[in-house]
Amino acid sequence: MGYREDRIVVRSMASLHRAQQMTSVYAVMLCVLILLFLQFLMLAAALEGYLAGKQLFVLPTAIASGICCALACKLIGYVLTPR
Amino acid sequence: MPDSPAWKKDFPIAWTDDHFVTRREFTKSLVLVSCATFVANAAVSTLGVLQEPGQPIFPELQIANVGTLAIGSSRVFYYPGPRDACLLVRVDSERFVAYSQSCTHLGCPVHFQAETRKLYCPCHEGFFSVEDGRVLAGPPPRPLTRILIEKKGEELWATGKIG
Repeated sequence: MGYREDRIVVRSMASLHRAQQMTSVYAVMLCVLILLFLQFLMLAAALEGYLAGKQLFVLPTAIASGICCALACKLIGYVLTPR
Repeated sequence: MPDSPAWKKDFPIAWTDDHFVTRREFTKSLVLVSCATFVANAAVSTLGVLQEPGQPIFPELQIANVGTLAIGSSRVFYYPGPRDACLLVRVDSERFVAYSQSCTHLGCPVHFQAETRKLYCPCHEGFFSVEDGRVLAGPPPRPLTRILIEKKGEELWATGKIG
């Protein structure tokens, strides 16, 4: 196998590796989007409760939002951490 | 002599990496928005905890004398503030009830209909029971706010409100 063929193999391997990475990035992006949507719902519920003077849902939504945020940070860490 | 051409400084990302970086950066932005949403939610929660109202203290106010209100009649009074219109109704010889005059639908003043013994909101045809203020018909979503009344001899005093 000559030099030219070696380079082609290396480039195709790199492109496969890139495709794998793209899959994980898309998966993480989708998960973060879903988490963000849930957080918006919880923020809306918390505001609704706060403005209505009903504090029952305010603290649980803040805790749930924090959990979503932590999950999102964990997911982005998975994508950004070099291996 | 530089190792790479000058234009590479302006375009440091290779075309093959471009899509990957763009999506990765976008996801990073999403996570930042997620953090901001959490901070906003925590702020709302903190505000709610700090401003949690305790039991309100209502003043006692003389609103009428028993002898001045005929059975089946009503009277407007203001409680607890000078702009909070309320309706006092004498249901029978011994029984007096009072409610906030503000309809729970859109805040129109309600009136007592002696012939039907109902509280009536003329704006959107809402009806409330004079016995306990519950909604009988129409669009109001919840019962009228009830004013607590205490009878001291021949005097009627408002002492608080429920709802």
